[in-house]
Amino acid sequence: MNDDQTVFLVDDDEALRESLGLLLAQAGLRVRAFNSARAFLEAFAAEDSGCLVLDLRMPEMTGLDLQTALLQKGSSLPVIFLSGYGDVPTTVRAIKGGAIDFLEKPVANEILIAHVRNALLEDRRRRAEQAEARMIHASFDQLSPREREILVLATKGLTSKEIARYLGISFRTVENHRAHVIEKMQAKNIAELCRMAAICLATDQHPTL
Amino acid sequence: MDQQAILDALPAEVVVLNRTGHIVAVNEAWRRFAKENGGNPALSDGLGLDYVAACRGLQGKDAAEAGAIADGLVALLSGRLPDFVREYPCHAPDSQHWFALRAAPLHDPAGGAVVVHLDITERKLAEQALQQARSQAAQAARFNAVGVLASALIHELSQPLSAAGFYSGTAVSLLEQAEPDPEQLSRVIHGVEEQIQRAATILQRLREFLRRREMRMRPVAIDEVVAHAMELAQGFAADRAVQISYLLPAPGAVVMADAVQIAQVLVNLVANGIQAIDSAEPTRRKIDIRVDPRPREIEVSVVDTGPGLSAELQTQLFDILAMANGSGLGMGLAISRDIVEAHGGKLWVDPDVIEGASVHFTLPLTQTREPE
Repeated sequence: MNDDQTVFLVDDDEALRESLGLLLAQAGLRVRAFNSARAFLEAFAAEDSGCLVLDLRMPEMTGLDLQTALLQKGSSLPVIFLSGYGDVPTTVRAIKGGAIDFLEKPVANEILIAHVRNALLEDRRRRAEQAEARMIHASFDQLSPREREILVLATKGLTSKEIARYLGISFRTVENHRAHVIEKMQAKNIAELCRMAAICLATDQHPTL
Repeated sequence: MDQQAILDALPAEVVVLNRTGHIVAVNEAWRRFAKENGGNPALSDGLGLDYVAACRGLQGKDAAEAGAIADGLVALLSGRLPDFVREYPCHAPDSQHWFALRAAPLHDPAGGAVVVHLDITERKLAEQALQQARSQAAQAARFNAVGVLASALIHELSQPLSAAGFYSGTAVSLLEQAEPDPEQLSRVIHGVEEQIQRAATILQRLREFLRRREMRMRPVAIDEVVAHAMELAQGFAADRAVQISYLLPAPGAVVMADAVQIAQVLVNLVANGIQAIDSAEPTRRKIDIRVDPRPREIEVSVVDTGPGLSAELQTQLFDILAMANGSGLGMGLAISRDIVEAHGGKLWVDPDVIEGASVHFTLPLTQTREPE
């Protein structure tokens, strides 16, 4: 299940690094351990898939800093924070930075492993979502300006007849463009086309009409 | 449009001035206020009165404030100021009041301005109450160092406990395999043992720190004592996002002292600083420890970026603490001073600091040892 995924473990306590590494490896997970956030960031590439288990007693970098650095690298790697204390401000900051999880030490083994597995699933989900969004954007980029116009109007619920009247072109021309749009976007139906258009028009640099 | 009716409908006191600062209109609220305050009867309807001159003419305790208002109005009327706002106290004999004066130019070729007085007493009282609560909290926090050891315990013990737990889980998982590797298993169980030992050592050190006992004087390197105290306070500081730095270490400086007691003093001073910072939320959250060697003694300073100690508080500091803190945990400054004096040193609070609080103590130097 996790063939291509790695649990990145950052811990400045040697005994914790070793014991947690062993535990996760025993659970069938691939682990790479680092003794500082800096060492991890140097070794980590945005394409690396998995999750990060972060346990720092005297961090040279806060959880938020690390997450910002990850986002700057273009990675949305899920992060699990381990903490010895229920320090509320740090917790809140971690969650605001997009952390999915926060655990207080000592944590039961099964619970920790369950959280790690969840984080790996979350990473897979985020990656699939990003890959799909990239594909949709690539398709969208192939549309001509006229086709984009028609896509936007069609996803607003206008019929071809209405679009033809609105743009002052013939019904047949609209139908032709519409067919091209569906073909280029590789949409199965108008509902899927609407979803794709929403992704393109919400996130992005493409001008709305 | 009946401008007077509009003015009268406004709850704030409103005065309209012409270019020369003479009153051209007042509203009902203004008249009522002037009457209630029994001021200059000319002011109560006041039409034609030179308002700026009336401000300047005020005598007594409000003279300075009224003068500043007059200056502001002149600047506004001459176009040098785009608008003018000033909050001022206006206390009656039996109650406190504050007002905000807000003046804006009239967009009329003839010039002039509209001046509004708003009663902001409620807001001011709320601000004062908050300020008072803050400073009380900041002072109370200084008398309490209990949290430090609890934090140290949580931070330090969670490490070996976690590691021991992970080793145990690994051992169980290894045993569930078809053919467990005895060597690996032994190594993992040994890990559990080591971590339990580590926890025991932490408990032993804390126990020693807490115990009331006879003084045990021996030559100790001050750097080691500072390092030990910082380690103990580190968790407490990290929880409150306070940074502790050891500036100016004194390598080789050796004092004849009970190392545990001097560490207690340092932890107490650092804890006071952390709590003061935490209660006041300054932007800088730092505690600096420094050691200045002198010919016959060393001076240790603990300086924080908290709200500082008022002169009044400084005089009571040691007495209050002597009464309030008898426990082994919350030692307070009084006990710290006793410990330092038993070592032949002095402990004092620096009265002249710009930022935060600055506490110092000296310890007699026994000898100077070369750094190892």
